[in-house]
Amino acid sequence: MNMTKNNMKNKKGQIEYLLQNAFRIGFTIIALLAFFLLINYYINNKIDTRYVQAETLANRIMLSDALMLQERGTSRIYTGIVDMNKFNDKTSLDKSIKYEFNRHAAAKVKLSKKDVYGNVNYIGDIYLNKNNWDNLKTTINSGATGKGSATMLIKDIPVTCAYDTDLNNYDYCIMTVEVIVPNS
Amino acid sequence: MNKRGSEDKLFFILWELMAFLMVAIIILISVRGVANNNTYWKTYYSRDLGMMADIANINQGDFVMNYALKESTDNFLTDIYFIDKKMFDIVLTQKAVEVYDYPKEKSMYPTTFPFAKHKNVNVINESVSANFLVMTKKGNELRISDYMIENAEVCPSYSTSKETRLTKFHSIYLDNKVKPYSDSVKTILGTSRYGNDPQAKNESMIIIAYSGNENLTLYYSDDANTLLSQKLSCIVKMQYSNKYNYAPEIKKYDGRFDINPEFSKYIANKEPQEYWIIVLLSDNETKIPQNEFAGIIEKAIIEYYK
Repeated sequence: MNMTKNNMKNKKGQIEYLLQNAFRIGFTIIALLAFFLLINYYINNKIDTRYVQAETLANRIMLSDALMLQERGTSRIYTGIVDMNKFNDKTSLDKSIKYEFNRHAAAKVKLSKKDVYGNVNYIGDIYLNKNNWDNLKTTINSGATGKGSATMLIKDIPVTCAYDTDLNNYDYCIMTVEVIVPNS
Repeated sequence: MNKRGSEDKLFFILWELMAFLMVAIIILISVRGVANNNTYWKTYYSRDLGMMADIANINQGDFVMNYALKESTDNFLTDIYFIDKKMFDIVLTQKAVEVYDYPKEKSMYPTTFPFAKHKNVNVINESVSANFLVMTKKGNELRISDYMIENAEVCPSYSTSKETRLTKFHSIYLDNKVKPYSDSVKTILGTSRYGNDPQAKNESMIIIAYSGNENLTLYYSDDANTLLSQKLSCIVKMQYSNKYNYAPEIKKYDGRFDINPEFSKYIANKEPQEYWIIVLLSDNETKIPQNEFAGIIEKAIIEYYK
């Protein structure tokens, strides 16, 4: 107590007094942090919707007029029949499905064809949000997980590739839809 | 300790007290923030509605979706901190669904989830603050709105499923001209077919009223059982319009039968869980066979409890 009294009298003493209390302050901060961490740990605010988002986007690509054949007069869409004119215009997906937030999701649609010998021949691909695709694919390839990385969904769907709108010229193809959704 | 030393110590204690008060206030504010935290549900609704909006923008046909938002439940923290029951403000914009704490003006940051607008779909910017909303995509218009039973094209989707052996149905009439209709309803929904379990409770009352020069109207109650009453009147409307190709009007009960002794006696003695609807028949409807009318009510009841 005497020592404390003496310490309080001068500047050096005050600093020593503060240092003596450093542990007390430190433990108080740790206790407060623990308090906040416990509260936040037991309150669940996170929802993992990555695969639902990916499914939604994959279905949108498959069901919408972005790539599928559309009848001119009625605007009816023939789901499962890919309009190759749209597919060959590499901006079709970006024009039809435009998210204002670039980091939301990205997709790649690949078409291939099996020949009579069972060999798979690549026809071509088209991207939605290509810049984001490149960024997110890099993180997936690097094996990174958690925030900043992404999750990928791949779907193979048998489709018909229509080279004209009257379906006079067509092929049976396999459409591979790869969707990447960033982890949040 | 001299006077100078006492002053120093006093200042030190004062500073400590201030620091303690500040920390205490910060903790109280943050705990209140957690207790008042709708983050989970805001995220949930923004994502759910955002993905629905995305699907609607596929632009293949029309759809109507009734959407019930979860009401906040009291817990000990909300009780301690006297936090009001929470609701949300849902905003549909051209590019995203935004969910704010209610009221929107006091909520600083919305939870947002984007959707991709189709070039041919016209998204109507709208804000809804209700626990039950409707998302509709009709023609080229996508919008959200409050649920208005009066002009709803689909009936509420909340579950009213129950075994009909546990539910007793009754009917009264407010005018002698419509007594046969009430009797038919009573017969067809009588305890020989429904509510024959010893534990069955009074569940719903079909009140038949008459007005010669008005259109067929279904009144739903404006009390604690409004939602139940709305749903049944909506289903009766659908059943009626399916059968006769004519849609009756649905209205909130406006008190017009309060002076009727039968009605006031029923309201005074009814059990709290019992809900009611009033079917106002006009001269046109009194021409249809009573059994047919009762059949419509029975079909509606079956669909309601399905």
